[in-house]
Amino acid sequence: MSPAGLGRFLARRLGIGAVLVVGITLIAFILTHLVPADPATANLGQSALGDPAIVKAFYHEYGLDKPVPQQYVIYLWKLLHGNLGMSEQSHRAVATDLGQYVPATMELALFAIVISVIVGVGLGVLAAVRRGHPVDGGLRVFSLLGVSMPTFWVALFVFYLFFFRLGWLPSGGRLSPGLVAPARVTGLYTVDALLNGQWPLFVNALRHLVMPGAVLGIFTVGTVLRFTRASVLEVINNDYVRAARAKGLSEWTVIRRHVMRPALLPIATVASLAFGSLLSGTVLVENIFSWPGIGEYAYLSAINLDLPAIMGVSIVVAIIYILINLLVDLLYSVLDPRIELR
Amino acid sequence: MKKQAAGGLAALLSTSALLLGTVPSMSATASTLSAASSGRTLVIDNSFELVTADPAHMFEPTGELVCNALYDTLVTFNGGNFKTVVPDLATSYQTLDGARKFVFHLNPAAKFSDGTPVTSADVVWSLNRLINLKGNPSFLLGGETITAGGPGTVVMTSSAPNPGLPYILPNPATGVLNEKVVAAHGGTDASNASTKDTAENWLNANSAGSGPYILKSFSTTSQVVLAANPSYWGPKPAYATVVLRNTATASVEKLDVQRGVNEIALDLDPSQSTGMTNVQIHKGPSPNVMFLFANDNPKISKITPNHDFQMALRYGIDYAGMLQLAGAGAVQSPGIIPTVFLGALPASADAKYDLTQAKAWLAKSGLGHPTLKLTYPTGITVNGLSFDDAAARVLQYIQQIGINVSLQPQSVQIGLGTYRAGTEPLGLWYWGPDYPDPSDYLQFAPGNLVGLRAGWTAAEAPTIAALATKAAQTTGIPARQAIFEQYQRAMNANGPFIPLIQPAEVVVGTTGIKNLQANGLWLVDLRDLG
Repeated sequence: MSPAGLGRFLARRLGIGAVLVVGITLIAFILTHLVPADPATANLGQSALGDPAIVKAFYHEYGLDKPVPQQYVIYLWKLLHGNLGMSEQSHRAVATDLGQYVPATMELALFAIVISVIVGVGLGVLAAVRRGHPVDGGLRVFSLLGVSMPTFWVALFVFYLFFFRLGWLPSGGRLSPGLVAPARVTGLYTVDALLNGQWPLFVNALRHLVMPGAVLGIFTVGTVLRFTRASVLEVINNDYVRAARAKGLSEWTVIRRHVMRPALLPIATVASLAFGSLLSGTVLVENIFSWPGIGEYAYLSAINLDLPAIMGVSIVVAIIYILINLLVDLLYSVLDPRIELR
Repeated sequence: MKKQAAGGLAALLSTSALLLGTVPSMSATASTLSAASSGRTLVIDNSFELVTADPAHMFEPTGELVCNALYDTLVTFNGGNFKTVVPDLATSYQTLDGARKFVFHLNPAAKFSDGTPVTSADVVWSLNRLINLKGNPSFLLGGETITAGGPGTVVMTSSAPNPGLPYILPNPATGVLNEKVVAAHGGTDASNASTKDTAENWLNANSAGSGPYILKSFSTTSQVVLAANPSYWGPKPAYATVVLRNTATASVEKLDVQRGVNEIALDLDPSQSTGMTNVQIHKGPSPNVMFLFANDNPKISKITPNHDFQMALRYGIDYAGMLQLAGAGAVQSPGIIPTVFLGALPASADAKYDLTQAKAWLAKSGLGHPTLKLTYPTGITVNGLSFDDAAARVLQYIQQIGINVSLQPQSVQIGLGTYRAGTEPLGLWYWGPDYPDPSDYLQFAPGNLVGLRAGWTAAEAPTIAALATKAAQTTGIPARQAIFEQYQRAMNANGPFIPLIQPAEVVVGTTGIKNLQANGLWLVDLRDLG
């Protein structure tokens, strides 16, 4: 595709994405206001609620004393200026909160997806190549277990075994207690520690990533494994693959050059969607491993009826999905040049 | 080729060893990497309920723990004894004009962490800021006028008697800030402070108090790090560094403290702490009172205002069963004031379970076998006791009397709405103290905040309303104890509230910590620990 064509494609998709984001803010706003509860009740103590001056100040501070449509218009106006409002639960700017929590979840999800794709694709190919063999059967059982075991159960089991029993890995959190986070560059502690040349801190952050990342990745490994196996089986007996074998190429070269490339399209789809769900669905893992990410923030926002935070989380998750879909479409055209971006 | 593979394998193994912490030189731990590596470090696990480290905005349990360590108050409590106020910044105080006026005399030795002395101007500024911010804790000093009677004297006056004031002032929300420092970072005590004060963000990264610790770092979701205040004017703090770590799951806290990774766990329930070895376990009644109410408003229910029906409920609850559910350390609440506070009824006043009496009262009510719903907040716990479990028990006991009850769980935010509106016929709720004084429980009096939630008006119970008014004005500890006992006995005989239990407060720590005890107000008192 020409650079101009690519530019038009990106502009169109990003434009549609912006409209989607506004639509999502409207839906989130309406749904939050349909809940028959009062944010003041959620955020003020019982005695404070009995003091009209305190309640009035609370409504005024968060703009809740204005009509609902006006609140929405004000919100959109602020959003246009990059202002996501103030969180009622944390008393901080929502953008500041998200800037803290999103990188934490991003780091966890990236770790999980990298592990998942490496392990899932590798085992998926192995299962396909050994189709019908006991290895294939074993891997299918493994993938079934991966997608069906409850995350919280796996998390508690892994925590008990590797932290409490064996003592190999640290308890929860992103760093050991008392450690100071590396100077912020990306917000990903492992990356920032490396960029700052803090090798021991990098190791500490990485060790804290292992358990929650692996638990989070187990479900995705199972999914990627199943898709990879199916995709590889679809192409492994095609004529051009047989022709490659007939030329005397090694099985590994055949798989790498002639099987994997077409098989990667559905794998890219499932991996990208899994990454999206990892980013937005980490509440349980974050809770068990005390990981200060967006999942926990979203949960607390919901139970505290913290409208600005709910809106902020909704926008971030929407943007993540929009960007991931866009990247997958771009990846398609790279993996298969016959696919035209429109 | 083989050499490359071997190298790759070696790299893989060394990386694995590194991650698993089997290479001591590289396995970074808190002790090797902590910035404050000199001196002892204490790590506490807590499921954070934390919004801010600005005392004047703070009204959450974890915030109280933090602010209590950072900021001194005029008076405080010693350990877990909430019945006696002891000096903090004030060496003494006088109660004048029928508890309308209090004069506090400051300790001249008190100084802030920057070495400047604590003056009456700082106290006045801090308390006025608390009032004028109109935040969550501002009601604590509602109606008070605060002035300086001199460099070392603070005068607090109110138009109505406020004998509970000395018991309100230990609340860390009334912590005294260094006026010059905080004002330089946007703080103000002006009447428009609710819109003009911008110091909260600064106070979430720094502290400006005179307490034994200073704030090193603050995160509401991961950890709070405190360091010993080198200028502290009192006894030197036992720990150089205290790390308060957010641990969302009590079972994880248990494993942490059992393995000795962290020293204190604050969120275990009695059953979780049972059977733990090589740790110290402290259990005691929390000041949280779980209660049942039968709405007195005939517009809400034709059944629940019936006095005989209310008495049937009072006798029909198996309190021992409720205590068994709550676990060791929990106690029955003889009145609405918890047993750990001044004014509490003695255990001899506990309501007694008597199913025969309960059935007799129900028969006397003439209601037959009425049908109604029990509303409660679902999904929340009080000191580890699940409301869902407690409601199931209450349901079982009430059904045994012959009342057809079904459960109506509501999410806490929705439930709070109906509870506050006074539209629940039969409700199961709890009250956590705003401050450890019996005056906080005058909210339950007819015509007052919680009383009205149960449809109980002053016109309906004028005698009890008069008792409440009298209790609010009575001064002197013996006289207050007597009047609040009288108030509660009257409520138990003729009120819509049925106090049930105080769940247990459990603190588990490693054996090396001295003076560890559960603290119903600020979870654990860092000042006490050795």
